Amino acid sequence: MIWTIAKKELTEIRRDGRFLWTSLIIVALLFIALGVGAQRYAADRDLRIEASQEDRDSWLNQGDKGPHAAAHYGVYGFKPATPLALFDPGLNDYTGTLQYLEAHKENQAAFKPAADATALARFGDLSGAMVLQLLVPLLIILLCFGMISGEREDGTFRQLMSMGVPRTKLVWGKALGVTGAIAIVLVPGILIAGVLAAILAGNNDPHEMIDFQGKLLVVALAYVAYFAIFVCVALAISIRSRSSGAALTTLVGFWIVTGLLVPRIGADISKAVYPTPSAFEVEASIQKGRDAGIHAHEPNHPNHIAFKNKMLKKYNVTRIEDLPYSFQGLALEADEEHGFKVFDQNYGRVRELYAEQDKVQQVLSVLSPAVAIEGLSEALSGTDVDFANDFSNAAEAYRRNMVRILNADIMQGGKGMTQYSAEWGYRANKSLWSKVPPFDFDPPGLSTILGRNLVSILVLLAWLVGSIFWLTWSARRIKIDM
Amino acid sequence: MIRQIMKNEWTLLSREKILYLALPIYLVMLIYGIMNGTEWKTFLYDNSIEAREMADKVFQSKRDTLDKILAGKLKYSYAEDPRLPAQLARYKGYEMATKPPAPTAAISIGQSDVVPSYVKVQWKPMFKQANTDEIENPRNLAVGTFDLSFVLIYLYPLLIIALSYNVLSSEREQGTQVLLLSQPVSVRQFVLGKILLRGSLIIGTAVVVSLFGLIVANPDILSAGYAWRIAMMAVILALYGTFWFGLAVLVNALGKKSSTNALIMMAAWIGLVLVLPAALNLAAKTLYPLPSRIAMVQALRKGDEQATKESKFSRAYRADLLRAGEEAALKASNTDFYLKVLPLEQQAEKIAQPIFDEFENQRQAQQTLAERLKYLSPAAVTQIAFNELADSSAGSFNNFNQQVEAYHDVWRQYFLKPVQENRVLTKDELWNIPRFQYQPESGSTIFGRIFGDVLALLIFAGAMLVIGFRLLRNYSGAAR
Amino acid sequence: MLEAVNLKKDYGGHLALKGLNLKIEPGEIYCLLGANGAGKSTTINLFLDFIKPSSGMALIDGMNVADHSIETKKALAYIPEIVMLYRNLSGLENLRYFSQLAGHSEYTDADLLGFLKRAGLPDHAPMKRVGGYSKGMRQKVGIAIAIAKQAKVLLLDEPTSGLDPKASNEFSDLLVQLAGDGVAILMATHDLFRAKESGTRAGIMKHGELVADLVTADIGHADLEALYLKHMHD
Repeated sequence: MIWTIAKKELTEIRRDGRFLWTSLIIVALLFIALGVGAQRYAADRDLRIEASQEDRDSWLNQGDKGPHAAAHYGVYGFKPATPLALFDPGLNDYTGTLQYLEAHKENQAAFKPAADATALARFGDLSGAMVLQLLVPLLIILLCFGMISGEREDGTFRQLMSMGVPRTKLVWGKALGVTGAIAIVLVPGILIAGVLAAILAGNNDPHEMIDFQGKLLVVALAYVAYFAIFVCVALAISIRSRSSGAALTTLVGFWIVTGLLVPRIGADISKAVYPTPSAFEVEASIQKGRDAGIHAHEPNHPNHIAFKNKMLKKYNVTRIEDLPYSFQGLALEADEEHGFKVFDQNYGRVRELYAEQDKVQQVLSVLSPAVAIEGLSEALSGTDVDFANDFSNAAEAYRRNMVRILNADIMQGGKGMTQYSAEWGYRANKSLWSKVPPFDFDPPGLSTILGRNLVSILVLLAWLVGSIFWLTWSARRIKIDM
Repeated sequence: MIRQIMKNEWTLLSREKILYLALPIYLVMLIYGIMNGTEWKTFLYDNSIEAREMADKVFQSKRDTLDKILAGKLKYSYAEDPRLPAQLARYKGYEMATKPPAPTAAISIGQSDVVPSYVKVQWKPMFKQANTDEIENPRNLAVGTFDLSFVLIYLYPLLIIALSYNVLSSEREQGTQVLLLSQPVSVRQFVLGKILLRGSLIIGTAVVVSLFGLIVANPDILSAGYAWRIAMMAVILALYGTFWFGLAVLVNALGKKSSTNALIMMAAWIGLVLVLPAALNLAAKTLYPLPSRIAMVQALRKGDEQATKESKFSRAYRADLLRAGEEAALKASNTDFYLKVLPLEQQAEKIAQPIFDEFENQRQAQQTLAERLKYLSPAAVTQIAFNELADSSAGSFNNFNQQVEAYHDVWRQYFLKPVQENRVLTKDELWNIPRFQYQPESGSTIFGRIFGDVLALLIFAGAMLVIGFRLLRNYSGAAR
Repeated sequence: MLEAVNLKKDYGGHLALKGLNLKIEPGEIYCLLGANGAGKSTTINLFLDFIKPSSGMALIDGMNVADHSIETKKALAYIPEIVMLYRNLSGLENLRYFSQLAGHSEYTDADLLGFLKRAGLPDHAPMKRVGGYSKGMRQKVGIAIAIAKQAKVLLLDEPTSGLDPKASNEFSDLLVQLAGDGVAILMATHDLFRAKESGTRAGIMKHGELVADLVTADIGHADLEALYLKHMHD
């Protein structure tokens, strides 16, 4: 019975010109978005791999110089992308692309592409994810809004009921028909576009392929759930609406509220609950924190003098030249270690805030499945805030390791020297530079991502289960006349 | 006659539930948008003040230190002398170049949340000075802000659609059309009356609330002589609204069912507001891809390596100086060193320049293309015009960055001279370091930039109305 | 007052009206009889300028309807099979609006209530919203609109179908009254009895042609029916 109904629906849908055109447009947009996305991803990746290599060469071949000068020369960390970013660029336009790793300072990832973009960019990125998140639900709405209300208006519903068709079976048959129609359009579309994109994107960096299949599978499942939610909600509303017009209005309203309004209002709410400090506040707080440090480069600063006296006392000597380690090295290292704490407190607080804000928005996805799928899709595609933070954290950890290696070398190499001589007279060479390993960042694995986005996953599941129940419940109570 | 049609329409509308649901939401959203924008403007303003004060403090502390040194009250090592020109120019001093928000900034947050409104100016190329980005959760940036321009560009057309998609089709469907058309009034007069009423209600509310709200929240708009900008905004939002009403007339004139009309209008909204601008953005990005900032970073590094190779100057210079003893080395390194290292850096920048030029050229080309493509979508035109009026457009920030670049040159020139003369700054020089002063673009420049937008919207709105009312001439009264 | 001159309407090959010639004078009630699709509604729609004739002319008060759409509508009133009004307005408000559209802004509420009363609307009804009216009551508001308009021509498209006999009878009486005031009335109807009772002339249409045109006073009720059926059978 269900299959008969599904088949009839599918035939009707296939003969509907609106469906044909809308799905053609959607598939065309999907092809364009994935094609351009793949090209951009491949170009970015090649450039990044090349740049990392060049940067490493520059580092190794910077010549003989003081280790601290090398620390100032620094290294660039380039934020990688996972291949799924070609499908969902997510927040990539709004996160920095590279992080300068140097002495004394924890720099933030700089150069968000959005800052260089035109105002058109603020209307959104035409990506595969946008097509699936915003446009496919519209296609579903288009297919479903008149499914029951239309039959009621045409009088065919009376006829069906008189034939003794169980209401739930009728509704599930229709749901199956819609699902089939969407699948006929999307599955080949996505498969072909995906294969094309994979060919365009070409070889992948093995680092970026971590858990790729798993992530792909979960993304696919998440979108299937998302579409299923829309099918159920749309059918339920069609059942409960006085007319097809009313059903359409309600559904479009639902789409606008969940897709457009809730995310923006959610951003405002999350900022109101966890206010983001201004860059000045953070800067001032870091300034203040760092002021309490050693001031390694200011020999007349009271903190510097106090640290010197402490060291002299500790090693029971009177001149810094008699210390078992270079004082310059000790001072630089102590200053850095102090800085690490200050940065952890301040930037750590900012990152925590981002995480808290994201959590607020994840919770708000109770009001909007679009918010849940957005977050989940970005997370699995490696284009969310967590990914950017992971990168920044890895880069900072790398910087700290680099600075420590270099300072340790000054402590040894500059032993017995004055501060000035230790900084400018002592020189290290390539053998030290190669002790600093190349920067390497592994994107988070599937289990980490799932753990972090548990709220979104649960909310999406709750929406799915809830909408199925709602549809079944509504189906049992379909009125023959409104 | 039109007046009577409008009066009757008002009576009819006033008995619809949707009005009492939609109007309050609409009002709340307009006000919320204005509040959000105003709050952002205050934030930008506070930042610009704070940034300038930060620079003031730095300059003042240098002057204070010098006073103490000159008065013999401070024991200082050579390296701590605030008058050392290269050190002051490179890392000890800095200017904060700020772009205070325009009084009308609350209209549209535009690009001002992703492009910094204040930047630190020091010796190093502005490109490398990228650490003044405002701290903001990238998700919030990506989602976009709920400002007045969002309400007007996205939600206002939706309200127009909701109230006018069935102006004529509903008359036909409820059967009143035949009676209406048997009166000595033409279809066009009816539609005009209905649209005029809805237009004055929705557009009028938007104009009044926006103007009144903006002025109350930002009294400086009037005192700073920016009133014309909000007047322009009112004109633009009226034209944008008229475009959507015109589309409603056109769609109704096709004589289709209400539900079909609703679908057509929603499709138009999705196409023109959501999909088309995003597609145009993709087109601009694909046709004129920007060289990656990564490439620029690498170019600077390579330039540096090449310049070092070319010059005979060794970066181990200071170590060599050490042979003459520490104090001498210190002194020499603080003057001589920079004398030698500056040309090296300039050479490095020169080597890297082509890629910077390419970046700039591509960016200009992309912006120019975007400026042309926007004319395909009234929503994009309106957004960009609002950005211009709020001084938050890409153009406005380009101008700011050009001013900063120019000031950066002034900064370098000011300190280059004493470095080349191998001397410290005089007291006068330390006191009179040139400051950055933002020159907002003139009203006529802004007007020139939005003139095309206003014209385009006029054509959009006019075309819809003309075509719509022309189609109505052939509208058949016979029931279908 | 009301004149069709060689009026033709061609719907893409299908001739709905094949050269109708008809003249209705003030005070006449002309009943158009005929099966569904015979061209009755097409004729009325042509007089209303809702559709354009393929050739020929529809004249009202000597003016070609197609050229003087607005002017001729000042002279006519139309009552469709089902008078649909604004549900959210009261009967009085509906009447006031349509009267204003017809150019009569001068009526006071008392005037308007008078028209409704004359049309036979119960006293309690005018202030209530039309949403709750029966078909007969809406039909009466339609008559009131026509009365208020002081129309010289009344076009009716099966106005009594679906009315109960009493309402139908009242409706016919009103028409006779209006004709007495000098109004020219063209009514498409299936109701042979009413046509005979209240009509002054009757025409039978078939396949877009007027096959019979007679004065009702000259023919008995049974004869009219026989004539009608004879034409239908041919």
